[in-house]
Amino acid sequence: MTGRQRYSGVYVASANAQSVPTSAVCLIWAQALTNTQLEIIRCVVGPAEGVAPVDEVLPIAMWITSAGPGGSIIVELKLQGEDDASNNSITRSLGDPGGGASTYVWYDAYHLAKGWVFEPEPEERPRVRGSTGNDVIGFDLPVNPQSAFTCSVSLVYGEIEA
Amino acid sequence: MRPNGVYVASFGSIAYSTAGTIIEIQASTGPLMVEVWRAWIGPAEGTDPVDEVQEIALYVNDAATTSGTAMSENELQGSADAAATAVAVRGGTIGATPTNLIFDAFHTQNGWLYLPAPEERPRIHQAATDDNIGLQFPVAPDQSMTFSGGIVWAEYG
Repeated sequence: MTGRQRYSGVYVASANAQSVPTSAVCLIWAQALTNTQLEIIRCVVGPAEGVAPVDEVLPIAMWITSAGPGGSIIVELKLQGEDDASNNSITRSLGDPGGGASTYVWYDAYHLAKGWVFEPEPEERPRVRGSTGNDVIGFDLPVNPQSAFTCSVSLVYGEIEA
Repeated sequence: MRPNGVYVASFGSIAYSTAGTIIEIQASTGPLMVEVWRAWIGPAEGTDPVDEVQEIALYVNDAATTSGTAMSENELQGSADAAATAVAVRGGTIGATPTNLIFDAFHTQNGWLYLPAPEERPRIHQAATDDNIGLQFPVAPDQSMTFSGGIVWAEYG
């Protein structure tokens, strides 16, 4: 059943100065570990940084699947809740594209000079469950950017522990 | 009233060049009520952003879009893995004269977001007079453009 649940903790994973290459890439992803549900509250992709803003509209997509695609570790920091650090989830940035046509569930696009925000209503927050076939959720740039750029990326999520 | 499930149907990087259906949900199997929570069109994609303001409309009607492309309905929350009672399509020809609920327009470099408050979320009912709801371009874009977009809905019944 849908509906709001009380989170055991709310965390943010944020990384700056991410060097996005001219190839498809997973900007950020998170995985719910055993006995944990993870619900996405917000994802923010900052605009491409620098003195000559990039004039390009780029597709972006959210996927849900079963395998984390590597990337750089991001430390999960507590915003609210009992635990100081999230021991029940993993977050990474700049991994291999984790989705594909068969697992992308949300498509959008954004102008690189503006950035992008994914902020679902509470009732529509995507939720993944640990130790299931779909316990990983991430955000890809599925199409090659025309040129490499630098941006920040953040993920805010709530954990629901069993 | 709590829904059975919340679903999303979304398309990526599709070219649109004519007036007609962008995306549509059909309440196909009863008893079912479908409530739209969100719909969006991303900005026109590419390295040379298009400078145009394009009209868009949210509509309901009594016949399913024809010649559209079937889409997957993916679960966001709920107990069911896929929406078996609502069918999502993109593109195609509107099946019957639509009743346009909301007219709007957007600059193609910005995209468009429809996010109604809970009290104003439009509903369609299976086997009712209007059991299809969707987005359309009432007027053809000035040139072919590539968009991403989608729709989020809840199912009851």
